[in-house]
Amino acid sequence: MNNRSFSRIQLAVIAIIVCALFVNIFWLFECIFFPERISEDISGEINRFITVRPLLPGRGIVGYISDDLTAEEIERAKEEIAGTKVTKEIARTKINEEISTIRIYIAQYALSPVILVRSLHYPLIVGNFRHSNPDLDIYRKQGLIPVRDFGNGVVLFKRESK
Amino acid sequence: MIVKLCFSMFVPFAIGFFLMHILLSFKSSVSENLLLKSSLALGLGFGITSCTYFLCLLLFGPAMTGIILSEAGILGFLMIFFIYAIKTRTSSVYDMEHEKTLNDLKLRRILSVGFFTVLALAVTNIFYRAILLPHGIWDAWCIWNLRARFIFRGGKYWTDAFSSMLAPNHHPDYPLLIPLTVSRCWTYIGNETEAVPWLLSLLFAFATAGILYSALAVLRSKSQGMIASMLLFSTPIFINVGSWQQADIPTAFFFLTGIVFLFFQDRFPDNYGFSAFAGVMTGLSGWTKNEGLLFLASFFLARIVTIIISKNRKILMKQLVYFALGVLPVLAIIIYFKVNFVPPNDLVSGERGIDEIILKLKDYSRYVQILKTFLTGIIVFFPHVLLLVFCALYFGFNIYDKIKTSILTSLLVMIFSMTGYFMTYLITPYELSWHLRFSYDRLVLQLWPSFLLIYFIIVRTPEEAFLNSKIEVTEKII
Repeated sequence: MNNRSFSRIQLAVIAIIVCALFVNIFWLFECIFFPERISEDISGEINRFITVRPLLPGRGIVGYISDDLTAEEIERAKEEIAGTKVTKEIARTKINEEISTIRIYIAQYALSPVILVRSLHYPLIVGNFRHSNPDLDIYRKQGLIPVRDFGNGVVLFKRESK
Repeated sequence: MIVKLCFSMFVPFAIGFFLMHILLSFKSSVSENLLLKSSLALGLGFGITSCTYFLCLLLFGPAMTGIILSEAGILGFLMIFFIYAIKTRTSSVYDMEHEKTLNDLKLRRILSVGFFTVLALAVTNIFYRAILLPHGIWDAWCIWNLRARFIFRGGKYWTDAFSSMLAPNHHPDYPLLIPLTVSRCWTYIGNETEAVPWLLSLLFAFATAGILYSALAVLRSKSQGMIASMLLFSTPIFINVGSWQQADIPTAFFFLTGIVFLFFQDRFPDNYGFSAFAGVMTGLSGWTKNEGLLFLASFFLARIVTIIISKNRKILMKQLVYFALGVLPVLAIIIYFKVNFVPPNDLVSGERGIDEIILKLKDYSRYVQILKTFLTGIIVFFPHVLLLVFCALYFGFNIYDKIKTSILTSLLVMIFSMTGYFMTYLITPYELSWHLRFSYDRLVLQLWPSFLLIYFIIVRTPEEAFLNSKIEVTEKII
């Protein structure tokens, strides 16, 4: 028996096992001790819309407004993220959260099958605000009547009939 | 609810299992064959029921009766043939012969202990990550589960899921296997539960690994299957995406099964059912994600190239006909869906003129940027490539004559698919670095299990490497 060759084969197999074990142990360690690095859970965001859904029609288009960040605020958020050690996915999530584009998609996911369109030209408009008590007078001036303020940054408006 | 959930998943599995047993008749007595058959049946069943559910929605609307009647009909029909096949089958059983298992008890023990430890860790990892993300990540809730909600909640207005009023990031043109499967299960259960997409994601991940292991165990050796699946389970992106409820693992599953059936066709040339199933599975990859259509085109093209350069043209042509027969029903559904329901794909639509595309094709910096990402990305996301080089150096290669044609075809499929991805990036309407950053790793992941299969079919098994070293020593002595 060629012991040298055979031990070489054993070595190769052991190397593969060790690498596979290392990767999995490292990732499990990350899961247990740093779950915030992995979690992009949107359950909380979705739950904000639970109470507004029964008040919307069964289908069709509903308007959407929000107090999205300005371009300067977006840039500032990006710079803040760039300086920190975060994984690609977390960075993506945080930037998305900050620039608010993600918020309309979460609202759409929560409120389907109505289709949300960023416009005020629909009879019903869902307001999705970053603060729980937005200044509704700004929107009244735009011809929107608050139907119900759910107290969590979600407000249902209707369009003032002319 | 749990009973209904299990039932909603068991029906597709039973359909897939019966169909596979009737047409391919793997012998289920060996555990690897049973695992292979079960894993294949799972994906096949989900694929078939998503297609029948789509047809039910078109013909009868979202009523539960339509779904139950159609699936009970299929199941009953297959059951008759299944019982008939069990009673009459005598000599036509394909008993998948195994290579000799590892002689060295010590190495066999090390490999088995290592494999089951890695398996346990990987399963825990995937489960843990999936629990942390009940809604999955971006693509899961922004595209796939959103569509499932539209279909389930929308009732007779289920086609609102493809409305052009939806934001482009919802990709209303993406195919429907995942959303329809989720929506179908919700219809069975009677309400929306996050457990369905969650479980579906895990099932596809485990079925992919199951097929890689069992196909290699059947075609090469158990130890080879263990090594390959250990490498798959230690691929970080596989573990992540496996728990993210995205469609990339199901796509990888159908790519892999298409290739697996190709190898079985060469191994058992008498039964053209393997080619037909390769066609069905490849077609279902196109029903899962648009990349599947590129894979289908690559598969077809690769087979034609193989026919041109092969001596067995007549047999290969016949196999291609069966492959086409398998693809056609699924392709017809995909075409019907694309023509009647959806806006054009974001990568090919828009106001882009041919001038803009030519300009991008002439821009050499784009070629360099894509090549750079392709090369560095493979090392970053798939560090195991280095282990594969290591394996090849230590074990060497052993290409069996019997499966040479399928090795050539599958390698060509890989090359054509990667070329297709390259060309897509070259002319993408999006900012190139952004597009590469957010999609490249997942595109390669779709091909990764198939690549592992092909690689471990070509490379020597530990048994062969050991045997080879003994022969070399004997020759030297002589």
